[in-house]
Amino acid sequence: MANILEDNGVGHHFYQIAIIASICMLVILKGRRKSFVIPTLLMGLVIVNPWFKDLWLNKLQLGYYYRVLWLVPVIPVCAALPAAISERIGNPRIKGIIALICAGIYILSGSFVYKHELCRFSLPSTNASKLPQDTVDVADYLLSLEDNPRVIADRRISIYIRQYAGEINSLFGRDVDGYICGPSETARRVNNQINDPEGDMAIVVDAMREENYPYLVIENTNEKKAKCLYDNGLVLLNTVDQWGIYSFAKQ
Amino acid sequence: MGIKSLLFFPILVFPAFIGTLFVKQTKENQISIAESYFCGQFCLWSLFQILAIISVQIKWSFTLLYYLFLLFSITLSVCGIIHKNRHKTLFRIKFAFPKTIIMKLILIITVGLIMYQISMYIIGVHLDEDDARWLAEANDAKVSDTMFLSNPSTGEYIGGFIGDMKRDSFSPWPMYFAFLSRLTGIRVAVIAHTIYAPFLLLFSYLVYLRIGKGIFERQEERIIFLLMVSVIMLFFGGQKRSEAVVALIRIWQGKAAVAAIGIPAVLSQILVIQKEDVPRNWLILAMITLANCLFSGMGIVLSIISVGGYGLYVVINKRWRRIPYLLIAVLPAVILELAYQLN
Repeated sequence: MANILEDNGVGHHFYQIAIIASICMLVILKGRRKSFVIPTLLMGLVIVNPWFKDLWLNKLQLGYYYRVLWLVPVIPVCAALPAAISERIGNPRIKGIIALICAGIYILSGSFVYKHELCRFSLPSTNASKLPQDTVDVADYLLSLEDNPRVIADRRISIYIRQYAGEINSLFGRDVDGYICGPSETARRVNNQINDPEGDMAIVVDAMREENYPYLVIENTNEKKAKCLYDNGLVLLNTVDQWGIYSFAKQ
Repeated sequence: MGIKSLLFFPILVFPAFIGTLFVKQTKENQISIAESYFCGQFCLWSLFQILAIISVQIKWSFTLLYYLFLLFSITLSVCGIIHKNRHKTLFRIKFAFPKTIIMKLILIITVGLIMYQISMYIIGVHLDEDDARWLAEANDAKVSDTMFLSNPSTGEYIGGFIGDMKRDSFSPWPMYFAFLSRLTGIRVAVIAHTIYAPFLLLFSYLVYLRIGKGIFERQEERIIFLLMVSVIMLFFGGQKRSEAVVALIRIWQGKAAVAAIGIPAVLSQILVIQKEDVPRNWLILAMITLANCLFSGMGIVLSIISVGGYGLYVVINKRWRRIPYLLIAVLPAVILELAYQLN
């Protein structure tokens, strides 16, 4: 089982607890209610089983294994065990004490969801959209210039900007990472130049002209890049947070 | 955010009335409001899935889907209200406050933990690159009035379902957010991240409560069960994709809704069917399957496996009478998966 869970992270023992809880509840629960446990054990045998892992992943092409793991009702089974034990006990006080002890065991067996760095959860939010504040500021500025602005933006802005406003068109978004439809050749080339500290901004400006994207958003720290943009006919419209927003100089 | 945003409340209230059409009354003409809400919400989601699949595949405009769904949901709600009044049905909240101090304490801790988890959606942030597709697709529907026909990364019109949008065209969950956003005038990102996410988490707990009701007869055990669920949810971390992590961090995403709501709902309905094997309960299972199909492409496959797994149990126990109902319950998911594979 350690092999199975290897790819799906560590830091808790709930899969193991679920299997033990299922076996315990086979004894504790009576009658029809056992039907809650038997499918769980069967699912567990088929899914949380190193021999079947390749079947789920490769043969059936079910995508990421963690999604198949969701079929094992780990949370209800683990939660039902303390309740099933307390059902056998008449005294409410002892029931409550058992419940609190079990809760303590589960806390010690697990890992706090919000604290784990893999979850990338942070406090507090700075806007109701729950998007990076600089993206929201840049998007609001662009929307103040035009109803439907077309922009080439640094990847850190462009992957979020269309989540905020569909009115904004972008040369690329998350597709530069190979997702969705994959990027166009121009988008890949432009993204590489923006990411590269020594990138050639003339290539970016050419793409702006060819693809009709009048606005460019890049980090406003590279003087060499800024000079290259001026030399190619762009002017700095505004600086929003750490981002410089450029457009073509009016003739 | 204007006065239009208040239209969000009817959408939250509709399910309670729609559910009266599906829930059996007691002899005293009462029905559980939680049960009614559960059924009504799944009815709304499954209705949206049916309308959206037709609209998306025929490439109708988003506006047409918007008005069709609005019309059908209002009609269903009115039918629910008429049905409720005609049968003089009363909503019942069957809950007695525990008598012992320790059980009172457990109840307070449980409610506190659930409220804490909900509040984290209101004050916290989780940035997720997957939203670059989901939320952008919803935004595009609002702006371009087409569904899944634009590249969500760029906003450029493509005219066909390509790449990941091919899968999304069978599981149009982003369109539900586009609907809510258009109805209320609130940005899609705000709806998904800040307003609807807490609702979905609360609904997830309603589903777990239903599982607790399916297993335990007495209220004390149900409270203990819910306490354990809320504790496990909070400490099922250490990985980024356990059902608890996706429920607490990004429940607005379709795959997370499958893990946090869809799969537990199938389990809860199977428990109900085990107790009361009537056609009405199979219809509710079919609605849950359809809602899973709406949430995510993976929801289609996982619904087939989970309901199919129960089918295996039915066959082993030689309960042949259940087979036709089971097939009807799983049929929508099978048809959608076949359509996707053949497309």
